[in-house]
Amino acid sequence: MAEKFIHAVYDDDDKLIDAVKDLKKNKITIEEVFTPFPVHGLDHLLDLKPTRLAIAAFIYGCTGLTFGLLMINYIMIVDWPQNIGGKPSFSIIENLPAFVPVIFELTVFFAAHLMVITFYLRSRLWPFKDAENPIPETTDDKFLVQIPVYDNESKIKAVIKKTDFYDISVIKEDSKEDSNEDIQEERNNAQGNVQLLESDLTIGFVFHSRKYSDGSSNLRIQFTKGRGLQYAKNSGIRIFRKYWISKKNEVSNKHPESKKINNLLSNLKDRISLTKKMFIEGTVSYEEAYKEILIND
Amino acid sequence: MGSHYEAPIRKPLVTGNKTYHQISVDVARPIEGSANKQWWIVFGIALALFAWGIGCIIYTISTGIGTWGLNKTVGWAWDITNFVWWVGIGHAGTLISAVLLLFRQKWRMGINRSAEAMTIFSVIQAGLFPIIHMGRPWLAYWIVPIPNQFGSLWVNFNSPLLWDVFAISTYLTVSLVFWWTGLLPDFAMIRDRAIKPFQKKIYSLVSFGWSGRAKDWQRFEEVSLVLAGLATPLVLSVHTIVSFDFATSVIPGWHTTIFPPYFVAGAIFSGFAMVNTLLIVMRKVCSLEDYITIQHIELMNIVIMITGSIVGCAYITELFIAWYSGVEYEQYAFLNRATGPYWWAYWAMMTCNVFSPQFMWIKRLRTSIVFSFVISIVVNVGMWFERFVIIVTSLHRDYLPSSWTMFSPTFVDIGIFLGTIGFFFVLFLLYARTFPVIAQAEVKTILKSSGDNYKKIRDNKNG
Repeated sequence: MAEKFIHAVYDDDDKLIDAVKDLKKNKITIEEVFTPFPVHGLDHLLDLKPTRLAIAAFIYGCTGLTFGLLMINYIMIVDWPQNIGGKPSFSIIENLPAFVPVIFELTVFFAAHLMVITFYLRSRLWPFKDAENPIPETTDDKFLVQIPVYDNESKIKAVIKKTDFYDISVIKEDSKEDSNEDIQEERNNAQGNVQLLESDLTIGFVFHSRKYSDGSSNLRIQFTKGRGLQYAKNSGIRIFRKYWISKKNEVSNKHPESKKINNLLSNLKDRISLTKKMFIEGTVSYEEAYKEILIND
Repeated sequence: MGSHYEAPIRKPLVTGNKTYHQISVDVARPIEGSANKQWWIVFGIALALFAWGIGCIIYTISTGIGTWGLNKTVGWAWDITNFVWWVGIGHAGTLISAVLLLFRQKWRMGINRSAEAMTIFSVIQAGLFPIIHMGRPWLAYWIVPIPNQFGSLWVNFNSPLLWDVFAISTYLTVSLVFWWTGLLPDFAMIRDRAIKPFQKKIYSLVSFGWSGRAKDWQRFEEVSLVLAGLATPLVLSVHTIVSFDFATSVIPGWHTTIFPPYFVAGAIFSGFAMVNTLLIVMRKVCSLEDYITIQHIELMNIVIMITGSIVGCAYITELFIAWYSGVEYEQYAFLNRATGPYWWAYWAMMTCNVFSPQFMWIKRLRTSIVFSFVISIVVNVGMWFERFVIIVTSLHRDYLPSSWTMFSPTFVDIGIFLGTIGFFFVLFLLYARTFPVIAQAEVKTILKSSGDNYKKIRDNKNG
């Protein structure tokens, strides 16, 4: 698996189709495409094999039919044959017409439910499953192409830049240490993001979207330039979200070490306002701003 | 643009110059906003009716079925009438989502979500009646073929009532998974827009982690198609089996072979009327006039007109066959229906179901919102009377004139019926505030072919 991905975002299904054709022409591997609705013809372009769910449904239906037939044969003919209304039930064939409705319903029941369960399992859909679309807009109106990078970053970028793209970003997979490009996820998981000063640079606190196994998560400092560029760095503080008071940018006094953490935080806040001032004066760049706050000399 | 071509003669199904994003915004608006006063008033009324119904159910179960107006001649009345009425209403949802999908009718996309919701909520109401009528609902599991402590005593697979158990439970559960599978991408859209943490958590939970991969969509479309293929014979079988409850008996007026198609047509007829009732209000309240257009209402009215005419044909065929059979009991059953003490119910049924839909031949009337709404209510009333007429008039004058009697409902009969109407609207109103009421992912697929803005661009280019 590649460690690095390029995410090319499109704002229209036709543009997406054209771009996928261009990428294919240039022999660039497309790992995944996320779309807000089924785009006609995309599965052929991506060379996806036809799904076999319909075949599975047929087999499930046959199973239901067999189950229904065997069950009714056992209950009505074998286990307790009765003479109901002058129509003795000693043979399944002769009594079959009355059993057709239930056998039919069981066929449909098995086919429908087992097929849907198979679909959910194959596509990994179940309650409490986390969504995996890289940016939330792909369920709204954006189309995202995920391309793995193997020493061909510049070529991929060149091809994408020729297409009618909306946005492009480079993502490093599994980067525990956060890279500058790890931006999209942050934008969506921003909680308690508070603007400290009004100017071009906004610095606030957010939680990392990943939780540790004990339920706590890293508190990060997020840097936003204007309304677009964004990156986040770990503050070195790891707490439960429930202790966080986003209005005050503090932890509540229910936290056993609240004093210690709030001291650390006020220290950070001082550094943040200092950095903001330095940024306005031009002594520190947007990309380097985090060093002023997080790297102690 | 070429792949999105649609004949210019087809009317737009999405109006108001929508973009993909605008569709998301419009569908999410009722969920993200807060309820207005009217919603609370209607919800309060529905909740009160529901509470009253629960009270009547508790009274029935604690005292006995004797609290109903049933007697030894009329042993089946409002309970089974309401059961059939609610099941019938449910059928339109499956017809819209499954049959119209097989026929590739694009106009189903604006209305299928709510129609399916209506299906599920009304089948729940229907299921209540047989369970209450058992008298001891805690023994309801006896209808399931399970080995038990009374020796190997089994349920009777020759009985239409047991067929009903299998048909209704299959119908309810299959409709539910069909509905929910279609909801996943739309829940995911709401989830990804949600700002409030609680809302985000809930919609993450119900969207099952839907991410919209190309492969997921391929499977999604296949599953939808196969489910539609399964649901189509299923929906026909369900009302066929409901009609077997009567048709397999030997009661004059019930014992007719025309019942299955006649019941299915009647079910679609009443179901579409209920869809019209609900959606005409919902499009206004949720500002969804751009997605549920006059065109949608007109098409539903045409379905109502056609199925109403089929039902009318069935009524007349029944009368003819009764006369043609030469069986005097059969002849009397129908004569008694039309001219006996329940003549008013018969003629209410005839007026509401056969005459009123004929107005829909006139284009001005079937494109009028107010008129469509009125007719939809009239049809719902008429279809309730149809079941009442079939059930009670066939029973109240049986083979033995000394036991001829009338049926009059008690306040408990009426209370339970009103209670189910309340319960239905409680569910539907909650749905309208928390679910994406338009299948937005599907509507986005037809935007470029059936959106008014895209159609205009194409027309200008060609013309």
